[in-house]
Amino acid sequence: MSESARSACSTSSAASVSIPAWLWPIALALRDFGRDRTLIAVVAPAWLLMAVSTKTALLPSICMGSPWPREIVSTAWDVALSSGFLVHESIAAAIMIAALMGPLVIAPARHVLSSQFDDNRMLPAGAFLAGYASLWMLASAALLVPVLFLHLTGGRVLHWSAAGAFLVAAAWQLTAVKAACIRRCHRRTPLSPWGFSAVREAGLFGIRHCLACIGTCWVMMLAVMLSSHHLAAAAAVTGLALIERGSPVVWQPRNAWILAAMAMAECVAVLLAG
Amino acid sequence: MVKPRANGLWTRQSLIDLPAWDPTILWYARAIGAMWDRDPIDPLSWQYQGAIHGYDADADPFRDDGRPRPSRAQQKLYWNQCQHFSWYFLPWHRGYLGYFEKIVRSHVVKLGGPEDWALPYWNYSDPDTQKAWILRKEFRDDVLPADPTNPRWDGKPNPLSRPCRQVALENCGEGDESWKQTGDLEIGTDNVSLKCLQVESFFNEVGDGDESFGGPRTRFMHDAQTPAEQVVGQVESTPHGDIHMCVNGWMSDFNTAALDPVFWLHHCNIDRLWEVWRGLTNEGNPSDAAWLRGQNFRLHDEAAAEVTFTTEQMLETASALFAYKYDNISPPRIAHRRFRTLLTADTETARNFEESVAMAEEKRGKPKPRLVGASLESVQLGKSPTAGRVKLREREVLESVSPGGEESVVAAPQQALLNIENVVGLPNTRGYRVYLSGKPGGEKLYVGNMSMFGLTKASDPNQHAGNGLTYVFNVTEQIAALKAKNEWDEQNFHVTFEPMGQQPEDNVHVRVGKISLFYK
Repeated sequence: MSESARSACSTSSAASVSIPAWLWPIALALRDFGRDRTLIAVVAPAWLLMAVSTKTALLPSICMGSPWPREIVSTAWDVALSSGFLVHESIAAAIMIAALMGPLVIAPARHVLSSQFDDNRMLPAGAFLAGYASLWMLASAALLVPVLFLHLTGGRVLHWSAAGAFLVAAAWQLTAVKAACIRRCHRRTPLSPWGFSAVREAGLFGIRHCLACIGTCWVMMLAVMLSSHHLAAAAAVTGLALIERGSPVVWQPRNAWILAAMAMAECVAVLLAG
Repeated sequence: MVKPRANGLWTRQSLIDLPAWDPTILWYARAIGAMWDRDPIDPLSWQYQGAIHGYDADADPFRDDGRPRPSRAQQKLYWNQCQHFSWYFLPWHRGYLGYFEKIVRSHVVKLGGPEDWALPYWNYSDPDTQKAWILRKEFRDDVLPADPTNPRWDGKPNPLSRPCRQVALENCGEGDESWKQTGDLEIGTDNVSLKCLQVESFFNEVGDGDESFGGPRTRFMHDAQTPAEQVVGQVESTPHGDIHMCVNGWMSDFNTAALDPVFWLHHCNIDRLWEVWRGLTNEGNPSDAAWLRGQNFRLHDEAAAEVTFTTEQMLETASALFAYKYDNISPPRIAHRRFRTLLTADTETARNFEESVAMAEEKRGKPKPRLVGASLESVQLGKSPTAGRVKLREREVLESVSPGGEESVVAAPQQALLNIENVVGLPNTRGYRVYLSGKPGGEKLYVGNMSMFGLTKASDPNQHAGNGLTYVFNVTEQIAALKAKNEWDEQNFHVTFEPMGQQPEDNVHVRVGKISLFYK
């Protein structure tokens, strides 16, 4: 290498910006995110819709994070059984999954894409996302049961339960099961690029990855559903999950402390609200 | 002799150029003895320095010695730091070596040795020295030699020969020790190949199918804990991994490797190869901020004080931090640039060709590998040669281009990259030699080695994802040769894995998840 080339290298490096080490997982995720326009096309509108839904009654759903109107609550079970409610909740769950899980799914989605032939990526990628998203939808439905129950009770119980959920999330952070789930989130099984095997294996990978993802995030997701500061909680949890996924695979009590702090913030918010 | 400093720079000399028990080696041995005398709680002790690379209490050969060790908090902060399967592999080891050298030098000076002492390097690939890979006598003698000028150490146990070598870690103290007489650790020419120097790029992205000299972009990467597939960089694979597994014993495991004095001379050579590579590549070191400043590493200096460093501080060996140079960083004869090797023997033509390729790449961007073939199933490896079949897509033909016209540059000389992916297992072998063949039963052409160094760690699902290791080989020459002999089948080819070194035990459990072929 010539001296001029070397000095050019060092000059360009000196001009670059220094970022704190703990921010690198988010910085790298944002960089990957910026490269992936399809994901931006899905995730950005999802966040926008979440933001809108917290301010308006556009989506009378789990995304609202505040007690439902009394007239809805009084007939909650009837509402639950009505098709309109299910459609609304399904849309809300899909939006929430796209917003919160979209950034986390970049790495495994890239694994699926890089395992396939250039001109045969759409079907396996679709199978992966279908497997992943459909399982999360089922999990969201399961999480909705306690959310619905707590909405029925209404008022402060709902807000205290959000704080409780963050505390459970903090405790869950310290369990061996959570650690095992995180390890499985990082698993990248070899995927065939050939014929139907490509679609089948990608779909199965999506399901397996989603199981690990649910094990990692279920209680954080529940806390976000219950939080009265839904959007802020969602953003915080997504950031936390991004840092967690980008960090060495070890138990992380640090994250437990952050979640405990979020529980405290919920408590303070309830108390301030009177 | 120890070379005096010139312009303030210490000189790291080639071990094989030194006479028997040269002062450079003798003072190294004496300093190591002094470091062993310190308790492992002391950052300047031998065991502490070794544990910085890796430590597992269960695998510690000295766990019952009753000597004090650092608290868990201190261990968490300073031990288990080595960076592998990562673009930090070279810079981290440079920092580790640099501060270690300062610590050894301070011991040397305290013992009355020369202030100009510097680490020697073991250039096992030296084409000018017959059997450069033979382990020198100084590392096999049981006792230190008599020294009339300094009889204090005469007949004392030789710290250089203390480690367990040649057998697997779990078999230390057993096995044939004839190597102690001959120094022959069954290192072959393939284990010390410098093909890695032909690779143009320092790093690649995980999963892109490409090759790189220094390893893939990752974050902090100890014990394969970082969530990314573990792709082995070219210099880290061969000769680095091969030498670890050939010396074997303590050297074969992250957690004990740095307890062997050979480790430091081996890594000194790897560090030197980085300098050799810099002289050959057009691309040079990355200018990516994530590599330069994205990760802080912690070590101790010769006063046992904490020091931190980033990659950016590791770029120049002659900088004030370590201030050293190698006595030889000229490219070895066997390390011609790939284009030159492949296409022409005429240096001037090759240079013109490379410049026009660089210009074309600047216009079009660097070519990205694209998948053109893959195996249909995983391959179980064992104690005897095993083959896996790889199916190729129709219409994917590797273009052969000869230098000269502008058109050929626009068409670009294609490269073929063989990826051996998700290799997992508990190997009871040093590694596998990989061969490529076209038609069944046809001629097999040697591709490279898959060293098993780090495989056990990378396969452990209880510590991390357990994705295993991925090896990348440039097989352009092999495919071109098979084509020339009409041995290449455009629909299928075969990859054969042959165990290297001693005949492995029956309990070899290694599985290749997938074999892929990329063209770029």
